[in-house]
Amino acid sequence: MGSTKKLGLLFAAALAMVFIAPAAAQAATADSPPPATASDSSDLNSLIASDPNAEFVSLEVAEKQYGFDPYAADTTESTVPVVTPFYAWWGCDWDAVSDYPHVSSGQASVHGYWVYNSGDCPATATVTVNLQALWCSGMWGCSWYTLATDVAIGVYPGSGTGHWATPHSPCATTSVVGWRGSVFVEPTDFWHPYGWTDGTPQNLSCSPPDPS
Amino acid sequence: MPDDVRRGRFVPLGDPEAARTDPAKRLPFDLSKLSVTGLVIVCELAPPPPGNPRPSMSMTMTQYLRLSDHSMIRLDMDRGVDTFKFGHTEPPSWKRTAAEVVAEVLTLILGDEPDPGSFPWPEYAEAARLRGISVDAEALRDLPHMVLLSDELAATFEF
Repeated sequence: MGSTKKLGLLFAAALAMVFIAPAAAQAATADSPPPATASDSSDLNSLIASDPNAEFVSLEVAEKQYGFDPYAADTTESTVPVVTPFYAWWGCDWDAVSDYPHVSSGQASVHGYWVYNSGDCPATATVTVNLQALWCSGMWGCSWYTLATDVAIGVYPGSGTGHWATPHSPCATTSVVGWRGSVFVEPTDFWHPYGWTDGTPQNLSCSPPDPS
Repeated sequence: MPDDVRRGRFVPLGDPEAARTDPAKRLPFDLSKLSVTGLVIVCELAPPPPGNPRPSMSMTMTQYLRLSDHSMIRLDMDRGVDTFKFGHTEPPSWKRTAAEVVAEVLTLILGDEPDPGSFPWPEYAEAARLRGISVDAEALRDLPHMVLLSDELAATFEF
């Protein structure tokens, strides 16, 4: 009888942990910014300033001339927080979506949004989108440089105006440069362990202004 | 009866009078004599975006002008979209209706500022001029458009 009580208490404690742990995680991260990407611009500004010969380049130039793989995952992306064992129980499935970077009206831009799939999800989410260009330096190698960020706060799922975040960057010249979009979706008041997703890189006839 | 008829011969379909002994001549592709009759957006499955741990899929959207002889000229305005799955549905399903996919394609194509909600006709006209087609934005504005989804996409979206 005693051992049955103990087992019951143990089960109750475990059950409580299951419900408390995600709630605690929500409280801890609800107002925190999305995790930084490897190509966080703040890290690059000092490097750019130190190499006047750095340039924005196409995907092919980055590969052939600098030996950089523009299709590889960012190194820090693999070190996002470890997945908790509880995520499967939340029962919320959604898509993060970003279109290919493109040029219109003399500007490069990308759209990012979210789509509800199934389960018990918050009605809204905050979508953060980075527009990045491929920057290379003979001294420092290549990196994805974030030129613009846009945040759509508390938006309902779906595409179109009022739903998506759209960072823009003006084209200084029509030189061919590699671009990509990177998107991060935070369902409102809902913690999840996932990080940024990087879209398919594209060459565009658009070179951004010199960031230095 | 002439000898060739008695022996038999290969003949064209339709009007027997259309048969001719001269070899057919291919006409040069003269863009100046062709008019633009429509906008075609061809959507195809693409390799998923590289380097992401989540299940993902990619769709390209290639834009063409259709000409009066039914040929299509590709505009230098390729688009596309990547989708990443989050949550725990296994295996991931990309199931959607054709109407939903077409609506999303058009939203993306029509979505750019400064005039979201309309096709970028001036940019189409400029891209067409670079391809040797003389047409202005106003002439394009009333053209019909068509979205084509590849068989691979249809299978992926489980139509």
